[in-house]
Amino acid sequence: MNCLECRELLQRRLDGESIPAQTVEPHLSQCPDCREQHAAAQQLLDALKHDPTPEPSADFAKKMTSLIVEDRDERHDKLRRRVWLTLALAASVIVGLILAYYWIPRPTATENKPNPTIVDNSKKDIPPAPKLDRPKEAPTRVDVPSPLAKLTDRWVDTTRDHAKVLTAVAPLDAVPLPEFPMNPAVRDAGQEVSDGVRSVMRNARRAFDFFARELPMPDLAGEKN
Amino acid sequence: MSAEDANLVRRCLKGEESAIQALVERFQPDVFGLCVRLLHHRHDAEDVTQEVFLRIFRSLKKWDSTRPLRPWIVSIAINRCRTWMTQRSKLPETADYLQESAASPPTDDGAELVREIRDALVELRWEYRSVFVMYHERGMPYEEIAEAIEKPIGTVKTWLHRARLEILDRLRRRGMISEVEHELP
Ligand SMILES: [Zn+2]
Repeated sequence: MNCLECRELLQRRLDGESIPAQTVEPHLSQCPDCREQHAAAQQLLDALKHDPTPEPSADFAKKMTSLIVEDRDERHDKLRRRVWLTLALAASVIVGLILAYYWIPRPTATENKPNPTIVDNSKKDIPPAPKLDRPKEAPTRVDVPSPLAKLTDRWVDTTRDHAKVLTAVAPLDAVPLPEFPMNPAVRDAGQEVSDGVRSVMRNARRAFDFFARELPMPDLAGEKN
Repeated sequence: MSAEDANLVRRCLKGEESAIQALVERFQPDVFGLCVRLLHHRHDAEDVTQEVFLRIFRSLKKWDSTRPLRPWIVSIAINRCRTWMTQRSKLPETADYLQESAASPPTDDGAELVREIRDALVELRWEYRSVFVMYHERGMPYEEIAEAIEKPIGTVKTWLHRARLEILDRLRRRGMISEVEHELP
């Protein structure tokens, strides 16, 4: 027997196999290295036998059971909540789709009207709006019987009437400005603010005109009838 | 045993608290024993044992009833311990931890030898350590260990043999072998 075979037998003994002493004895008596290893193995087995594994506290199983039940209930609740939330979301999406189907008006094919301009763009400082190719089937405002359109019409009319009355009663040029002694620097600053505001207003007006051109117009002839 | 385990699991899945407690009582020596030996720390072992049982019951539905239950449970415990060790290795060790993890001072040669074996165990590669603990501490046969770690039996044997040799070498290096004995049981 050589050292390798002796170690193989040592492993088998450590596995719990019964090896006759006379099989290893001749080699162990000659080989101090293997002898020491076999002795160490014996002491290892003895030590493991005399050192039982610690156990958890006496009430561990009971505490663990309540923890497991608690955890299970919590997970069930969470799952239930998630299912309800998913169902509620799905239901609201379906209701939304149904409402959208019945409420959103669908455009009807009507005669296409030319797009009249809202403002007089013959003035030099307002460039004419770029001509855009309008789709032939574009709906006019008449086709969209929106309360918003009617409301806007009413506001426009009212504002125009008020302006007419005001300019007739007191033309802006005729309104005298109060004569106070004023610091010239402050007066210049006021003038600059006024110029600035005017230019902002002009640009705002241009921008508005540009977009207003594209708004559909009411069927004026129809309204008169 | 397998039919008994399957029946116990079925009752647990139905929500029977008595079955849950029975399953915990049945496997707590294995789970806690593995945790305490692998982590070398009683307090950590209790925490990890709790986590392991929670995981076991969360995934009990996934257990294949045609396979033995014990290796399945042991595999969860081993994996959890390994994760815990990885997380712990990232934390700075506190004085409190070292104090608790150290074994009680030896009172005689036998206790000193035990402490030496435990220290040797901690220094082993994870695979060697877990196989050694499963075999020598929990008395699991090779087949169950192979099932638990999902490796061939040959690999389990190789790892176990290497683990033993490393521990024996350490004991010899440290002069723990008192006298030469020839006889093995
Ligand atoms: Zn030899």
